[in-house]
Amino acid sequence: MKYLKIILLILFTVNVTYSQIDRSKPPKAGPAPSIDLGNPKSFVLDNGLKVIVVENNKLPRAYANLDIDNYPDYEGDIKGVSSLLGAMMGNGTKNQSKDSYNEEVDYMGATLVLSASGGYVSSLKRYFPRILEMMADGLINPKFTKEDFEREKNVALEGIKSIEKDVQTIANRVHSKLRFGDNHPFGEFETIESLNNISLKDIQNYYKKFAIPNNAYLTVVGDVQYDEIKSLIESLFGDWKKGKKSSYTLPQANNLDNVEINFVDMSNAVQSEIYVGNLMDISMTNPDYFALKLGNQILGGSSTARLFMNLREDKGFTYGSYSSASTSRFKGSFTASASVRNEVTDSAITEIIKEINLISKEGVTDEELDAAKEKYVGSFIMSTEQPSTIANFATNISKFNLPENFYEKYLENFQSVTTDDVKRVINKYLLKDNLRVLVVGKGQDVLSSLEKMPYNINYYDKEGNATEKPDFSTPSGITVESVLNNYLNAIGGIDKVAEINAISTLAEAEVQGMKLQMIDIKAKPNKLVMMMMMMGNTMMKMVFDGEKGSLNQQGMNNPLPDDQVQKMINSTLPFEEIGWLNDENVKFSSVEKEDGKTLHVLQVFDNSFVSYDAETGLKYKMTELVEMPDGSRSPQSTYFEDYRDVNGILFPYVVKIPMGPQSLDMNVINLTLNPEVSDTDFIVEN
Amino acid sequence: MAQINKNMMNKLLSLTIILLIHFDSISQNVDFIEYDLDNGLHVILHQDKTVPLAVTSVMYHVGSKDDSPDRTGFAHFFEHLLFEGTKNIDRGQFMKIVESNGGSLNAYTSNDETYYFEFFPSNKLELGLWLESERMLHPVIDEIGVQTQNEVVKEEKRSNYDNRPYGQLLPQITQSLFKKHPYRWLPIGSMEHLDAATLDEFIAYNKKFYVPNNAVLVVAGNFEIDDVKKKISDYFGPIPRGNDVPRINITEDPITAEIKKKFYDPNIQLPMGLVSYRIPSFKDRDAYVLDMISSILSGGKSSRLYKKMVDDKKVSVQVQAVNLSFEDYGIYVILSLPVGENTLQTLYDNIDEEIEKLKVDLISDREYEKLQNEFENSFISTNASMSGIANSLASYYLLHDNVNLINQRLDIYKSITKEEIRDVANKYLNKDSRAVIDYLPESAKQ
Repeated sequence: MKYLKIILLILFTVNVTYSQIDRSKPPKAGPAPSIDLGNPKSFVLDNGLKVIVVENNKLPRAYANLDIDNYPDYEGDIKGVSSLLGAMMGNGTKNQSKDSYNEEVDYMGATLVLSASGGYVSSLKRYFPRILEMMADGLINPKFTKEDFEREKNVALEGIKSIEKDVQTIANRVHSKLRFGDNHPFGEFETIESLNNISLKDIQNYYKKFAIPNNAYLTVVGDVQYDEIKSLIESLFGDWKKGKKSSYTLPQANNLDNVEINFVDMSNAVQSEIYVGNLMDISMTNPDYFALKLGNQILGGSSTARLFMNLREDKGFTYGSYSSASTSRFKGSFTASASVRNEVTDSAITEIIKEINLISKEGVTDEELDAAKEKYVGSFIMSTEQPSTIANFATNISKFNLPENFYEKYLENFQSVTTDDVKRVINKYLLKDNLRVLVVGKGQDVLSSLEKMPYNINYYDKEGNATEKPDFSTPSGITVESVLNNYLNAIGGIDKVAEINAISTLAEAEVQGMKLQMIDIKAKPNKLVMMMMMMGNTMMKMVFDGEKGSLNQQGMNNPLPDDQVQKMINSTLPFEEIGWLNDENVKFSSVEKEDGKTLHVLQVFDNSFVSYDAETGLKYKMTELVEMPDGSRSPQSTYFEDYRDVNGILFPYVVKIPMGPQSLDMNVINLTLNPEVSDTDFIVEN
Repeated sequence: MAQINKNMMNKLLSLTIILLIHFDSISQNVDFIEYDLDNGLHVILHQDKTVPLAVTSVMYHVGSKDDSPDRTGFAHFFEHLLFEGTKNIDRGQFMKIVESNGGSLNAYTSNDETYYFEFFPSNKLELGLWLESERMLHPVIDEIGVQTQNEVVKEEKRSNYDNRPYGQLLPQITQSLFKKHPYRWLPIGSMEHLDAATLDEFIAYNKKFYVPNNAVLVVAGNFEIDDVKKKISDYFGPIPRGNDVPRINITEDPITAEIKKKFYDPNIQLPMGLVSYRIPSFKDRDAYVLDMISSILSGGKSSRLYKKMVDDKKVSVQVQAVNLSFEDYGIYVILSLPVGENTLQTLYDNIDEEIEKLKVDLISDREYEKLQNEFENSFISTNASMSGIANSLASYYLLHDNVNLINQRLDIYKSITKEEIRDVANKYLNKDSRAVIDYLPESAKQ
C-alpha cells in the first residue's frame, strides 16, 4: 500500500509542470516603463503668487502646499522670531476664534499647518474649498495675542533648556555656526538671550515683512477641477498684499585653508559626533549637478556605499556613516558624518578622510557608477507614482530657474555621466585639503589621541564660541591629601572635626506639593540611621550598625546589599574625609569645570566620585555612576550648598538632587553636634 | 413642543446628517484576484496600470507570539537572518541587488506576523519574485550569519529601547496586562535567550514556520496578469509544502482589580502617566469602536482630553489615547505628560473624568460627524500607494481572515452608533480592570 502511495505521489508531482527557470542568477529585466510627468497647469496672481495645479481624481481628496520662498533673512538679536511666529499662526484669525477654528479643522478630518515660510492643508474633496479658505484666512488675517505669545515663548525657552546636554543637537548647531559664521542666516541659532529679546511687536513686524506673496508658490494636488479651483484661489488669495523686496544680501562664507579639527568638549558624551566637510558653490542649474550626486551616492549615499562598508561593515566603529552633497542657490555644502564610540574617534576620522582622498585620487569604478545610476533611475521612476511628485517638479522648475525640460531630460542626464566626469567633479567640489573636521565629544577620553593626528585643533564651546583647550592634566601639587586637607581646613580644621562623635540632622524638602522630612544620625566609627518621612509616614529607613545593615522601604524590609555593606564598613562617620585620608583606594581622578568653578575630583569607590571646589576647598558634589540595563553607566549627582557655621564647623544647609528639569532640594532645619546616641538607635531590623 | 415630537425631530436630524455624510461616495475600489498554489501559498494580485512600479511582498503568519517562552526574540531575529543570503545569493548581496536595480526594500516583525517587501520599477518585477522565492526556498542559515546578526540585534535593542527616552514603556504595559499570553514580551525579545539559541534551533524554526502554506504572496502594481501568474508559478510553485503550522491558543484571565506600578527610566526628565486596558482582537467589532473612542479623546486640538488638559487647564504637555490591536488581544493606552509641578494623579483624575462622561452621555451629533469625516480621511490615505495596498491585502487576508476589508473597512466604522460608543466605553474602560503605570525618571527614586 505504502509503495503504491509513493508511486502515486511521484506521478502527481511530475504532472505539475514548471518552466525551466535559472535561479542561480538574477532574472533579466524588460524595457523600462515610460514615465508620465503629467500636465500641471499654472497661473500667477497679480500679487506674485504662483499657483500650480495637478488634477488627479484617483482618490477623493486634495492638498495644498504653500511655499513662501523669501531670500534668506538674518534675525540676529531676535533669532527665534520666525519660529515663534510660526507657532502662533494657524490658531484662529481676526474672523474666527481659536476654538472655533481648531474645532472646524478637526470636524472636517482635515490637516492645517501655517508659518511665515509657508503652510499645508489637506482634506477630503468635499471640504477642500473650505480648508483652503481657512488657510487663506489664517495666512492673511492672523491674530497675535499677548497670551499666545507668552505661552509660545515659554515653550521655546523650555526647549532650549532641554537640549543643554543633547550632544547631537549641539553638534548640529555648532557645525552650522562654524561653517557659515554666526552673521549668516544658516549659521545663527536661538539662544535664551535672543528669545528674551523678542517682543510681540517684533512678531507683528516680522509677519508684515516676510509673510508676502511676492515669491510664493501654492501647489494644489488632487481631486480638483482647474477652472473652479483657479477662481476660488483668485478670490481667496487675491487680497494678500504684496510686500517690499528685502535689500539684505548674504555675507561671504569661506572654507578653511587647511584641514583642521574643531573640537567641542561635552563631558556627558558617550559617543563622538563627527562631521567632515566643506562649503560648495553649486546649484541644480549647474551641469556638474548629476555627476556630483552620483559621486556622493557612491561615497556615502546608502548602506552599500564606501563610508558605510568601511566604518560599519568592516571596522564596526558605528551603526552607520553617510555623506551628503547639498546643492543650493545660496551656499551648498558637502558633509560626511558618523557617530562613533569614544575610543575610535581618531580612527574614524582617519578613515573618513582616507575615503574622501581615495575617491578624489582614483575616482569610481564602472560597476559603482552603474549601480548608483540605477538607484537614481529607479527612485525617479517610482516617485512618479504620487501626483505630489509632479507638482514638486513644476515648482522646482520655477523656483530654481531650471530649464523647462529638466525632468524630461533628468534620466538622460544621469545616464550620460562618465567615470571621468565623476572624478573631475569630486575633485572640484569635495575639497580634501580644506576639510573642516568637527568633533563633539568627551575631551577626557578623546583629546589625547586627536592631538596625535597631523592636524591643528581649535577649541569651541557649546555655543560655537572660540575657547581654550580644556585642561585634563593633574596640576602639580594637587594630591588626594591636599584636597582632603583643604576641605577639612575649610570646614573648621581637623582638630575641631575630630571632636565630633555624632551628628544628627533634620532636613525638609517639597515633592510635588507635599512635604518630605529626612532625619539622619551619623556616629563614630561608621554607624548610620537615615529615615525619610512623608505626612507622618515613614517611607524609607536605612540602618547600619557598624557590621550589617537593612533597608526598609514602604513596609518591605531587606538587608543592605553586600557591596553597600562593604562601603559602609570601610567608611568613617560622621566625616568620611577623615577615613579617606588613610585609604589607599581613594585616588585623584580629574580636574573639571562646572558652573564656572574649577573642581578637584577624587574617586572614592569604583563608581563614586567626590568633587571639591578648588578655590574654597568645600565639597561641591558627589557623583555615583549607576549601572544601566545595557551595561552603560549613568551619573547621579548630589550637590552641597549654603555652608553655615555650627559651633565652628561648616555644614551644607542645602543638599540638591537634580531630577531632570526639577530638583529635590533638602533644606536643613536642625543640625545637632554630639547628640545623645546609643546602640539602640542603630538596631538592624530583620 | 411635546416630547414625542422633539424625539422625532432629533431622529430626523440624525438621519439627515447620516445621509449628508454619505454624499461623497468612495469611487475607488481596490480590485484584486486571489488563488492558492498547490503547496498552500495564497496569492493575491492587484493590478494598476497607471503606476510605474510593482511591489512584491510576502507575509508569514509567524510573529513574536509564536516565540517559545525561553526563546523570545526568535521571530524578529529570524527576520534579520533572512537578509544574510540564500543558496544563490551571497552574503551581503541581497541589498546590493535591490539597490543596483533601482529598488527599495524593507521588512518588519510584529507580534503576529513577519513581512518582507521590495518595490522596483515595473520592468523589474521578476527580480522581486526571484528574491522572495529564494528566501522561502533555501535561505542560508549558518553560524556566521547568526553571530553577525546577534550583534546587530543587540545594537538595535540598545538604541531603540535601552538608550531611548521612554524606551521601556511598551514592555511595562505588556507585562502588566498579559500574564499568560506571549504578548507579554516584545518582538525584540531577550538577549540572553538569543545568546543561548543554537544553530539547530534556527534551522528547525525555518522548517516549521517559513513554509508556503503559512504565507501569503502579494504583488501590486503595473504588470500583465497572465504573465505574473506564470512567473509566480515558476518561482514559487516548486517550493515544497511544509507541515501544518500549530497556532497558539492561550486565554488570559480577566483583570479584576486595578494594577498599579512604578517604573524608573534613567533616560528621561519628565515623568509620564500610562493608563492601560486589555481589549479584544482587531477582528472584534469592539476594537473598531475603541478606535473611534481614541479619536474622541485625543484626536486633534478640539478633542476632549487635549482641549481640557493641554489647552484649558494646562496640566499636560501632551495627552494621547492609542489603540494597539493584535490578532488575539489588544492594548488600549492613554499616555500623558504633566506640565511643571502637576502630579500624575492629577492627570489620571482628569482622564477618568472624561472616560466617565463617555460612559454616561452619548457624544454630540457634531462629534459623531467629526468621527465619520476623520475615519473617511484615513481610510482613503491607506490605499494611496502600492506598498500600502500590498500590506493591507496581506494583513487582511492572513490576520483578519477577510481580504474584502480593504474596501469595506470604512463601512464598519460608519455603521458604529453613538450608543455603541457608550456601551463599549462601559464594557472595557473600567478602573478595576486596568493597569496604571507611573513611568518616572530614575532620579525620582528615594
